[in-house]
Amino acid sequence: MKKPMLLLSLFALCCAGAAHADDWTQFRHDASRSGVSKDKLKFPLRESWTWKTKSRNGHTPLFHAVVKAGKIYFTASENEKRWLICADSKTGKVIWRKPLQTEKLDFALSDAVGPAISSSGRVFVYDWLESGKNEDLAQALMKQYPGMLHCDAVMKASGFVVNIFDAEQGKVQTNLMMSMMGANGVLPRLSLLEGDTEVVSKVPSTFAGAPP
Amino acid sequence: MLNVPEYLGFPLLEGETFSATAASDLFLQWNPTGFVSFQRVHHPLPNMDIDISPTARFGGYPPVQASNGTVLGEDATHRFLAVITGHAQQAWHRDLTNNLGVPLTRDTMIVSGFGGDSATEGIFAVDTKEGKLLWSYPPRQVPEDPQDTKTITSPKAIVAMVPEGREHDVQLPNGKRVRAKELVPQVKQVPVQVPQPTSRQPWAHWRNPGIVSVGDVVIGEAAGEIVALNQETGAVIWRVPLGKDQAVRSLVATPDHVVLCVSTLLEIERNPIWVEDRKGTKTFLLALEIKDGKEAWRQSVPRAGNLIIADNRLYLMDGTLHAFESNEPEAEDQSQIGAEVGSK
Repeated sequence: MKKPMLLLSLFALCCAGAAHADDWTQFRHDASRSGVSKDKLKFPLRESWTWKTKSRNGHTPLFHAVVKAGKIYFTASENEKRWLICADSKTGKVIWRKPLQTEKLDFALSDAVGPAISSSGRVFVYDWLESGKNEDLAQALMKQYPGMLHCDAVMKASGFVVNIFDAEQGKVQTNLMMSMMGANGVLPRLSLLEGDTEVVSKVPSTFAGAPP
Repeated sequence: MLNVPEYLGFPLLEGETFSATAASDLFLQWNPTGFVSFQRVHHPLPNMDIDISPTARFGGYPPVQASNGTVLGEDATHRFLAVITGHAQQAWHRDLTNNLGVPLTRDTMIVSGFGGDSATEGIFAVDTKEGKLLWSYPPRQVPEDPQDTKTITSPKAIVAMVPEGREHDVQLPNGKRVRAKELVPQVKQVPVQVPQPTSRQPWAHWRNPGIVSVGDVVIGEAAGEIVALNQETGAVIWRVPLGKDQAVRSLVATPDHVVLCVSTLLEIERNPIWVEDRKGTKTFLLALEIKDGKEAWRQSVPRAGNLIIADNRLYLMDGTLHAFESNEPEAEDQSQIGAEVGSK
């Protein structure tokens, strides 16, 4: 009965040796912003591939990327457009690419943030919509909210938007148009008042000094 | 309705729920299958009418998931760090005198850099439950980050009674009949001049390289060094001094190594990554052993960028995407070896 035991041991070894490489799905890796990957890098490293497209005026938004299930997602400028790109993380070969409406977002941080990807494969990415150019979006939203939205209103809307694409094929799923959803309206306000938390008033406002 | 565009900063994904702060005082939470929630977060100045106290300006501060809510911070105006627990509710907040870096949470602790234009003068830890200070490094006074006081106009909403209602015939006591209008309430915006504290170098998280927590070690840049601190006590485990004018631009880790992007700056101030440094700025990638800070690898790169580690590769994004992998050949497929032995 030694053979089955040997096979069982080898099976265990295989499982240990074939661990799934880690993903990096949002800014600083995860919701705790740990900045830590489970992957162990073996140094030295060598550069294996690059992506270096820019717009004609030299603009590039490529300052963040996310990786999930062997694919890397990032925004890049090329041919006067900004694109959401999904590429093979090992080779850089494009799997799909989707054009975004605005080549450069006016707020520098929004422009440089790049996408984030959820566990179910929703890719969130920022854009700025121009009035009259939102046909794809209008159709996706009309399908998601039947009878609740006027197609004309969506087509005419403009402003900052959070897009969602599906990770596998890059299809438009939905988006959140900030102005249409009331971001500029009268909103609830959380006021951080001193009286609410007695502990706060007792601790010094500076973090400097000797540890407690 | 005011139609000022709202721009968002780094998103936080908790499951399928998306959160972000805006450049303004807006905090957004959105679950595509469920709800969307907008709220304004306000830190009123002491002894000032809450209605006219100036608003916060997050500058896209990266929210972080904590065990009891969401961590938010602001270092542009009346600076604060807070944990908010739901819609328009806080667990606690504390006032600050310094700029804030990109925070992380670990168990019931929030850790962040603080101080200076890139929040790299020190590192602190507070507990998520009450905001109580657990430790800070270095154990010396870090000067308050300077602010100016600007005068801004803040609209105060008042209710005035105005004679614009229905007209009536009214008989006066002297018998005379007159036409009179009803007084009706009308909301008016009255501009009020108020002082607003304004940081000279706000939004330090734009220039902050981040902090990592590996095992029971926290590693970050503080006071001109790369430091590894005991997560529970803040005690120094090791320190690696940075060279003259050197600054960490991004910092990530694996279980064994901390990997940094470091620049020798020609400017006094550190730029955000998306701003190209002055020509001649030298930048390199550096890997240090987590156990003792010993150097494991170094390589020059053309420009500073953000780092991520995934799929056993290091990626640098500096306007160009660079993928780095090990020089060693990939390990043999163990499943094939097992099959050969098992078949004998």
